[in-house]
Amino acid sequence: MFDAFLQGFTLVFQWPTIGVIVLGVAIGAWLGAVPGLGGIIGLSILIPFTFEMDPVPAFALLLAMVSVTATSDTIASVLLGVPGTAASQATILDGHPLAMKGEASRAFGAAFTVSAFGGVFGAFILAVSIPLVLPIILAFNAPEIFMLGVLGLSMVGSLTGGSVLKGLAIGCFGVVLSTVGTGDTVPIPRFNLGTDYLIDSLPFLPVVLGIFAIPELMELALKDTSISRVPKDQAKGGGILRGIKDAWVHKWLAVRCAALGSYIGILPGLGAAIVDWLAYGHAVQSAKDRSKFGQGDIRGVIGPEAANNATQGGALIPAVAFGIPGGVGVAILLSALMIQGLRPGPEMLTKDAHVTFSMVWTIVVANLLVAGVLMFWSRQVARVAFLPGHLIVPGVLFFVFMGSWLGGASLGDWVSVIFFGILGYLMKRSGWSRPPLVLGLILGDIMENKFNIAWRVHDGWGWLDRPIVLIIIALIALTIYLSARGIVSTRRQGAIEQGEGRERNPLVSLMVTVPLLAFFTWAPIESAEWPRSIRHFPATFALPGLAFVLLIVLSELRAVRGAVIEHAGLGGAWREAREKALLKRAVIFFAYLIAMVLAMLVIGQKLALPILMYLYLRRWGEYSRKLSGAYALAGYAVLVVFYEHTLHLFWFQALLPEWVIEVAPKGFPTWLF
Amino acid sequence: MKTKTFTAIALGAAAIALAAPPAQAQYFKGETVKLIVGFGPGGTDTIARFLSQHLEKHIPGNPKVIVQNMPGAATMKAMNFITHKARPDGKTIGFNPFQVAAQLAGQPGMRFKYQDLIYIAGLQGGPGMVLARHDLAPGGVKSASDLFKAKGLKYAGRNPIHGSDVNAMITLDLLGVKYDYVSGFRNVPSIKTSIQAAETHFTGFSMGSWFKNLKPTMADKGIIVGLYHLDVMDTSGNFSPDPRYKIPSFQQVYKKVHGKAPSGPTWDAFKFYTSVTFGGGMRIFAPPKTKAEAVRDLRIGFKNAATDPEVLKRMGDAIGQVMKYIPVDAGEKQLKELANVDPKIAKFWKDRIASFQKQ
Repeated sequence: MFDAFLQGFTLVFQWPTIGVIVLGVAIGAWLGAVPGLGGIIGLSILIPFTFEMDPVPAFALLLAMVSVTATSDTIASVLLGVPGTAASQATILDGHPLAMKGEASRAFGAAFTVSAFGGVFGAFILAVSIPLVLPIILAFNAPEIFMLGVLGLSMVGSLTGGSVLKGLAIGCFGVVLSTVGTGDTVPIPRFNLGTDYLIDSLPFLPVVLGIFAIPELMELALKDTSISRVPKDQAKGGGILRGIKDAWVHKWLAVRCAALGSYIGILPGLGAAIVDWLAYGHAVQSAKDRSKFGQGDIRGVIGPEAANNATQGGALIPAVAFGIPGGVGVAILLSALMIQGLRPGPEMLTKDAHVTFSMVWTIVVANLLVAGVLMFWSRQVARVAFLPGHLIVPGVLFFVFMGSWLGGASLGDWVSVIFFGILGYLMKRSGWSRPPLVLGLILGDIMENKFNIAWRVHDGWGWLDRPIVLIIIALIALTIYLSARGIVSTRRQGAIEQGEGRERNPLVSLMVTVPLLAFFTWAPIESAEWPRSIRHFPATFALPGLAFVLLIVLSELRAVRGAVIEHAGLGGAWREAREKALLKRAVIFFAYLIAMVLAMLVIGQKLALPILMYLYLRRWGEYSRKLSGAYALAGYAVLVVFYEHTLHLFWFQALLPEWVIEVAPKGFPTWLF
Repeated sequence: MKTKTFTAIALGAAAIALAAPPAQAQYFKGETVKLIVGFGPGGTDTIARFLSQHLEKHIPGNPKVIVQNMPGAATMKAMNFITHKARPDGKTIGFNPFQVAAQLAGQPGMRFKYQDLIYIAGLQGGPGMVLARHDLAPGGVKSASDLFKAKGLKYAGRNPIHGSDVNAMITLDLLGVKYDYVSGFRNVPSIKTSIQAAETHFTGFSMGSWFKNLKPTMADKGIIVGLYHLDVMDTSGNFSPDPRYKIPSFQQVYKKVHGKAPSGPTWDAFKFYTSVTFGGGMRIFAPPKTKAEAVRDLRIGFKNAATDPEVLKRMGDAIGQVMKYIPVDAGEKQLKELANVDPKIAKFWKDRIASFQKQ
């Protein structure tokens, strides 16, 4: 075994393999950093190139690319409050507040350190614990995975910010949203509003980008500010070294989260999706002083970042040894490796162990390399936090819209991203924590699927007495207890007005509550006629959702009454609420986005997005024609070079581009439109 | 002399004219052909991307061939697009699995009929197979008939219109195996772990998954056994076992168990399904009313790419199995059969799939 271990090492450091790793790292770092792109897109671009390559460099290219996206995705999470990939959603909770305090570098220092550690740890811990991997996978059947989903959902308590009720209600909303589209058992489209767009499911990317990215961008646009609210010369204690030191101080948290990440990550169908949330929940619950979470506690960055890289590294061994990949990314990676002649099976641990170890080493090298490079580079990157926000908004909006489009290549994606952008903005302004919605959306889908399987396999509730199920039930009880205690103790320390889900504004909050009330009333009525197996799950969450929302309405009406008395009339209270939430400018902002989508129907995406960028820079940022024009042109170039010629994106068939195709002479570059 | 020169020039000119490709063969020159795949990366997408490189060489005019993903509703979204929205110029075509069961069952959201599209080519996958846990019978399962006595068998399934499930379940029914259908498994790994953990007991798989994944990781270790593979039907309707499998074919097993060849309405329905699908695989369709010259060149391109020995040699490694080219006449004949389906058989399939969905 040790020979194979060394042999794998030498394989990796041969030319051209090491060069290919560098290339893979560069591509992966970029794909991870841009919101809406990620390792899976990278695989679909790179796999055709690997057809012509030798196996070892081909493995190295793909593995290096995939394994570093979980490191570089921290950049968008911290700077923009937008998850770079699905793996670092939880990082935004504390990473972004750090950037707002001018401490982006510190967050990067800590995140890259523990990412590198997590990646190496995940790769090795699974190489060492190979004999345990298969028994663990086999012990987690449908009932256990379902219960893990419930455990994940119970973490909502740690993510609710100010109001537990609002967190629970929005978590229920997320779960019901996850049931949109055709269920697994009976092909009746659920809650699809009669559209083809929702016939399958509600695509995930437009929701996440809309709900997280758009409100953060509006923060910059509406308040004329930079990401860091603290000017550069006043920002203190935010250096990279401080971050590395933080990582060292909290090393045991990093170890625990990396272990959590590697073992949860091997479970097929669940792992990668929730690891960062579980790690965040663990970081909060294991902390003595929780008052700073959500406002820039470095532990909230260390936990998820250590875990998500460990997942990427750890998922490899079960994939190659048993042909059981933990997630979609690893599954595609495995099929690409099989194209190269890899045969998953026990030989990968005996006869071909050197190949397996060369992969382990590739992950190690790639993780260390990317952490080093990003660390070196992060001072420049962190400067973005001090740039005027108006320069950042159009560029990120651009990637948000294009990333959403990758969800389903449909107009519905752009409608969704704006819809969830509006919802996210109202939530942010009025004390609704957004993460529970995303958690519900991710977990709801897995839970319904596994519950139905468990129900059918065990003929009902026959699975409730399984030992691991009982252990998880105990963990859920413990989680709920700890959350409840945490909430009580935080409340004792007095109201905190900062951080996710802590802004108070009852009148604006009603703009979220009332539609939710309508939704939770409509959902059970809409589903009343469906067969049991596809009706129960959404109903199980819609009814408590309704109860939570009713309680919220009561408390909000009370708060509104207080405000009305204070401002001598509803008009005064509304004016105050509107000004506090910057609603007027927010409406104008969304008018820009909606106008862009309408214009897109005519002139197409490749022109509409750059025009939006130009107009935004001119009108909101008051930049010169020259700068705005150059910026918009750069956006256009990315559309044509990257999205058209590299990704071969499927574009919306707008009137102008269609007309150009119709009338253009042969050989005319119609792809310009 | 002069006439000779003239003749020579004329002949020369004629030779040049003949040697130069005819103008209409250049329909796709400088163009881009988009293969619309109804899934994200992996699986069908990988097959399309593998083939796209070779199509560039083989389609007359050497267009650029790219894959575009339009995931959703098990390819229905992509195929609805091909039918109703794509320009009929041959530059946008569908590359997707052939979901005949969806059409027979009247899948919601399916707004097209395969026979309304223009057939470009078909790629026939190897025949599927059925496997079971080895320990379902005392002394180990050796043949499908050992399952007759087992109680509480659970079949790990995807959904009732999935090709692997359609093939496996109807053959199990013909044999007389009793089982519960557990739907909702979304991929190979989840089925594998479920069967290995004895949560479920058996299932159907494609040839590629069997040879590349299940056989080395589970069958060779004695956890599962291959019960049988489906017989291959040729273009004239005759069945034969596939020599690549080392396990018996369905009809061989059936004869051994029941002493005669299968017959009856279930068998007729299955035979119909097999004859219109050849067991499954990919179909490449152009939008209705696509220009004739585009259709001609695409058909040439797909035929030459899918029968190129160099391509076939690499295909086995690239996608786990060598897919066989289905010629245009055979493919069109299948579509005609599908269009003129006997109402009794159509009803059989509709009821059958609905019955699994109700469970």
